[in-house]
Amino acid sequence: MGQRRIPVEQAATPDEIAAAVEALTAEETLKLDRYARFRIKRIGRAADTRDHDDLLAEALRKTLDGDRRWNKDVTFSVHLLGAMWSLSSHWAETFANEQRTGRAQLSDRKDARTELAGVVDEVAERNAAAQETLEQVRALFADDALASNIVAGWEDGLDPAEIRELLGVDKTTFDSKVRAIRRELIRAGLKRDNRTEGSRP
Amino acid sequence: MTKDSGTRLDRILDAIEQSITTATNQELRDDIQAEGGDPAGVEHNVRSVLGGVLRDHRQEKLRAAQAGYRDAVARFQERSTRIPSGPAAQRALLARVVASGSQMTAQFRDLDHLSSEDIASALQQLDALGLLPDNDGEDE
Repeated sequence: MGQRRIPVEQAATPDEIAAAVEALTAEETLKLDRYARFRIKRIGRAADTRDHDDLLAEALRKTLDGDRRWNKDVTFSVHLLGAMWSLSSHWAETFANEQRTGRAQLSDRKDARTELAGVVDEVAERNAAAQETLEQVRALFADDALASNIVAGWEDGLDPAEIRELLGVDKTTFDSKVRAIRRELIRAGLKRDNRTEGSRP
Repeated sequence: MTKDSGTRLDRILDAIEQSITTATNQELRDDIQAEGGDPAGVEHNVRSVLGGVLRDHRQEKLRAAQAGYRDAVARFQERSTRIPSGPAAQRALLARVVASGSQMTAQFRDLDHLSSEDIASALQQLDALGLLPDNDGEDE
C-alpha cells in the first residue's frame, strides 16, 4: 500500500481535502478506525505514546501539509489508509533503528566482530519472538481445521483465491471464516513482535 | 523452522489488514460490537479527530496570514522612520529626491509652492513606494 509521491499540481488542495473529509461515509470512518487500531497494535512499542487517533490525525495533517499528497484518482479513504500504513511503518523503522543505535552505544567494544555478533543476536531474538507468536496463533485455531488451513495458507504466501481453491471452499465460507479469524486474533492482541510489548525483557 | 518466522507472521498480519480494508459496513459494525464498542460512537470520534485537524490547519493558515500582515506593517513603520521629523529637513529630503530622480511628477518640481503637510505626505507616499534613499543621518 506504499504511495508514490505525485506532482504538486496533481495533488488535492486543502479545500478539496476538507470536502473529502466531510463526504466520508459511515463505513469509511469505521474502516479508518479499525485499520488505525490494528496498525498501532501491530507496531507495538514503536508507537510510543501515540494511539490510533494520533495515527489518523497525523495522516490527515501530512496530507494537508503536502507531505503525503492525495492523488484524487484514488478515493480519499484509501489514500488515508495508505498514509497510515506508511506513517506507522516509518515509526516502526525509526524505533528499530533507535534500538540498534542504543545497543551499539552500550557495547563496550565496538570492533566489527562485536557489532556483527550483536546484529546476529538481534535477528535471532526477533525470529524467536516471531516464532513464539506464530505458535500462539496456531494454538488459537488448533481445534478449527478450516481456520488452521487458512492461516497456513497465509503463512505460505498464498492469496485468498489460491487458498479457497486449495481448500475447496466457496467465497462466502472463506470470508466468514476470515472474519472469525480476524476477530479472534484482534481479541488475542496479536502483534508483530511481542517482545516490543514488554512480554520479554 | 524459526528462520523465516518473521516473514510468516508478517503474512498473517498482512492478510488481517487486508481483510479490514475489504470488510463491509456490517462486518465492521459487527467487529466493533463484538468488542463491546459502539459503531456510532466510533464514527463520531473519527469525524471529530479529522475535524480537529482541519480546524487546526485553517487556524495555522490564519495565524500565518496575521503574522505576514504584522511583518508588513512593521516593515512599513521601519521605513517611515527614515522620514525626518522637521519640516525643513523633510523639504530638503524631497528636494534631493526630486533632483536625483526622473520618476517624479511635475507637481513636485516646484517645492516652494508646497506646504509642509504636502511635503510630509509626498515623502510618505515615496517611502511606501520604496523611492526614498536610505537615511544618511540628515535628520534634524
